[in-house]
Parts: sequence; structure tokens; C-alpha cells
Amino acid sequence: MQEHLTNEQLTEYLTDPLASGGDATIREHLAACAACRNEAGRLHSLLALYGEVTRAAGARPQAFWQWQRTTILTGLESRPVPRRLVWAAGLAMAALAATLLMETPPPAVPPAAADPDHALLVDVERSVRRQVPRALEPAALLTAELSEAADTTIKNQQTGKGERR
Amino acid sequence: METTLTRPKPLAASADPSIALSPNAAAGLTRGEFDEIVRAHQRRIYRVLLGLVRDTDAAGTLTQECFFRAYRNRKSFRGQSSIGTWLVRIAVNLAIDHARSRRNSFWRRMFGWSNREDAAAAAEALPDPAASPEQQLGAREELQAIWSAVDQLPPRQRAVFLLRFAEEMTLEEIAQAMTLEVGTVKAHLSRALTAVRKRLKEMGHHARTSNQ
Repeated sequence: MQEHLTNEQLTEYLTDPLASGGDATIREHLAACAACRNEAGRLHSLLALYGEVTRAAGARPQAFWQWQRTTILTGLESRPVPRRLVWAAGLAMAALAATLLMETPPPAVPPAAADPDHALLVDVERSVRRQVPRALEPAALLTAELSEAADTTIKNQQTGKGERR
Repeated sequence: METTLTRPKPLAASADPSIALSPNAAAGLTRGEFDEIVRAHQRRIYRVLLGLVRDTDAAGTLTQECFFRAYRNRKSFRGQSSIGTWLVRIAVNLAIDHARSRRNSFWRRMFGWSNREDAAAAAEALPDPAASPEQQLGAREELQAIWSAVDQLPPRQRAVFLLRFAEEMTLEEIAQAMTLEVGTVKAHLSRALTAVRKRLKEMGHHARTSNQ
């Protein structure tokens, strides 16, 4: 017979007495060795005491448990959304916004407002094509009217001479 | 011949209403049904958390968080263990995370807060008033030695020790709750008990030398 139970055997006896009770080596040794029997018994009692005190330390009045339950049930409704879900929702919103922005057609813009340089160029082109600068346009108009009147007078005179002949 | 139809007997009220709870039923739990689960398990969850974090406020908060997580993740309950074991798993993970964050906290490092006061307070509640004052003192000192040794265990070993000797869970239940093999649970327990015995021997040695 071995001198004393090994640490593993003692552990097995203390942690799983039902299983180790079936182990003949442990059972027979405990029956024969008073030292191991005392050590196993002392540890067994201490561990039982540890369990008892630990459980007693967790005892609370009924009101505490009721309060806990109420808090938990209330929290199920008002619990903040987990951060991961918030991030996921934010990313989804950003993706949706980006998609909508890409699909929206650009607003209709008046041509002049759209390209002021082009309008300026058109204006310059018109000015160049004019025979009279813009500043002299009134005088040119008067000259044109006078020459038109003179042409009409000459034409009338020629028409009168022809009729007399 | 007259035959009488008898209604089947209702199942005996169980401490664990989740025993017959299938994964589908867990996914579709109503608030009322969940309240029953809270009522049945809140004491054990609180005790486990208190034993691991040694702080009544933190244990209360973590108990609530444990049930919030369970409700939020109820669809992930596979039914491979009871809901009680599943809740213990959530609680142990919460306690380990909590210990990790506390270990790194500024105030803890600054002032070196310890749990010895809590252990002493718990040991004061020794349940054997019939014992002599000497016996009570000796038992109290041994209990302190166990608490002290358990305090210094790594978090998983401490959880295994607590679940076995305070909650009296079977090795298989502990293995399910901690997502470990039964052999690993035994190894954790063996190391934890070795540490406890060593601490007790040291204490006995100190007691003998101080008495001389």
C-alpha cells in the first residue's frame, strides 16, 4: 500500500467523491490510513464551510430581489442599443445618403448663369460684327435716316422729270 | 364500462424553469416568461458574481447586465445546457472582464484596494455558534486562509473552485458553463486545491511558530 494519497487522489476524492468512491485504491487507503482520513475529512469540512459562508454572503432581503427583477424588466425595454448596432445603423444611413446623392440629377441652370464666359464671348462677337461701334449707334441711325430721306427726294425728282417729258 | 379521462398531472415546479425550454422557445420568450427565469436564477447569478468580484455594488450591476445580455442573445441559446448553466457562463465571462478592467484601473493601482475586508466580513458570519471560541477562531482563520488562497488564483481557476464548492455544481455542469473539457475542470480544481492546502500549511506553520 502506498504511504499516503497523492495530491491528485485527494483532489479527486474531494471534488468528485461519488466517482472516487468507486476507486478501490482511494477507498482502501482511506480506510487504512488515519492521517489521510483526517486530512481528507478536515479539508472536506473546510470546503463545506467555505461554500456555506460564500452562499450566506450572497443572501439579500426579498426587497432586493424584487428591485433587481423590476430593474431588469424595465431595462429590457429602455436598454440602449448596443454600440455595434449604432455603428451599423450609421454606416447604413451614410451609404443610403451617398446612393441618393449619386442618383439625383443636377438642377437646371440658366445658360447665361451656367457659363458667363460664353455670354461675354457672344456679346463681343456681336460688337465686332457691328459696322458702327455701340457709342456711335445714335449718330449712325440719324445718318441713315437722313440718307434715306435724301434718296427718297432724289427718286421723287427723277420720277417728276420723267413724267413731264 | 365507464372510462374516465384524467388530465395529465402538471409537472412538478422546478427551480430551473429552463429545463424544458427548447432553443425555439427561448428565442420567442415573452417578458413574463423571462421574468420567471430571472426570478429562478437571480440569486445564484448574484452569488456567483459576488464570489468572483467581491463587491456588492458591482455584483448587483453585473447581475442585471447578465440578464440583459441573456435576453438580447436569447436566440443564440442552443439548448445544449440548461438556461441556468448558460446564465452562469455569461456571469463568469462578465466577472472575468470586470476583473480585467479593475486590475488595470488607476485607483486600484494607486491605493491597492483588496478584498480582505470583504472576506473578513463574510468569515464573521460563521454558522456554528455551538463551537467553542477557540474552535471558532481556528475555523475562522482557516476560512480566511482559503479565501486568501482563492483570491490569488487565476480568474478561471477561481471560478471553477467557486462553482464546485460554493454552488456545488457537478464537473459536467462546470465544464458546460466554462466551455471547458471535464479533464480541464479537474486540472483547475487540482491546482486550486493544491494552492489552498499550501496556504493552510503555511498558516499552520505560522500558528505553531507564533505559539512557541
